[in-house]
Amino acid sequence: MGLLLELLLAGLLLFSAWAALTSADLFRGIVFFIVFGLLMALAWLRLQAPDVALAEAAVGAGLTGVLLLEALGRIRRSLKARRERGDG
Amino acid sequence: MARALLAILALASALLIVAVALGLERQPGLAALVATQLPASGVDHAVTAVLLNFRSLDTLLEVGVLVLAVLAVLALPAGEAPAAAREPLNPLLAWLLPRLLIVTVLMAAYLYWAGAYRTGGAFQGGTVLAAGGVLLLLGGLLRQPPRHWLWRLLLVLGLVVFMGVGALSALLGPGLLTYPPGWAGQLILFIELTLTLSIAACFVHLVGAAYGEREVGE
Repeated sequence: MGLLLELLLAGLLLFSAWAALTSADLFRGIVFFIVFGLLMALAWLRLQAPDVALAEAAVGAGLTGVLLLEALGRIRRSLKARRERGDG
Repeated sequence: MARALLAILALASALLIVAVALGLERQPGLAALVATQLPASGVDHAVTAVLLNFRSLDTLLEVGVLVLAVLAVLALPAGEAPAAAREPLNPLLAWLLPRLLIVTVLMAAYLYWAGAYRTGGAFQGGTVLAAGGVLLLLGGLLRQPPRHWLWRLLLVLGLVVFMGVGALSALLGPGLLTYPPGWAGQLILFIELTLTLSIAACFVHLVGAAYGEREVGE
């Protein structure tokens, strides 16, 4: 049962990493990145490293995720502004 | 074509690493050594002892890197102060925010204090406190990182205190970042307190600077 859980976790980790890297839609990629961070925190827990899991969940999933989303918003806004100005 | 090759290369490397890792024998590592030295370290938790005592120089450098990142952000031209909130606050968020903030501060304080005995410590408490700060940003209560000099002081406080303890122990005492015997516990707690506040301030500044730039160039 424990092995099944860990194999499932490993599979989900690989899948979310692949999905984060290969998404055509950037927003989807960032969401998968956050999912990957949270799953990684679970993986650290399974490896009996709760301190690392806390740091991973907070920084990897939380702060980096927010930073990436904010960057995506800025990219979209600047692209929209450029289109409106006519630069394309 | 190149992408397919890269994918195959990455997959092959990953499989190779997995194969090697599965074949390694389980080494005892330094856990036994840490366990014997734990009573002398001033705390009761192995991870905190390693982070803040045995390998405190590494933690110092990590905090230095974080402050460097914040300095880089500080060097960027600041946007103008954003205008007042454009839309009213989501009522769910308005109800949830003060309650979540109280819980966040409590959890951060507990995690900081618990680091001496169990999972917790400065980084963990600091990131939870930073999450509270990000909540403030998301709720619109904080538009951008404060420009007050006290905030700037808070950003570097952890690093300065850590380096100060290291310098004092190098000049007056046994050596760089070697805590005087008997004082290790208190020094660790003091350093961790300033580190918690500083780490939270640094993360909030990093996230908030992006928020504060919202009005530039629009």
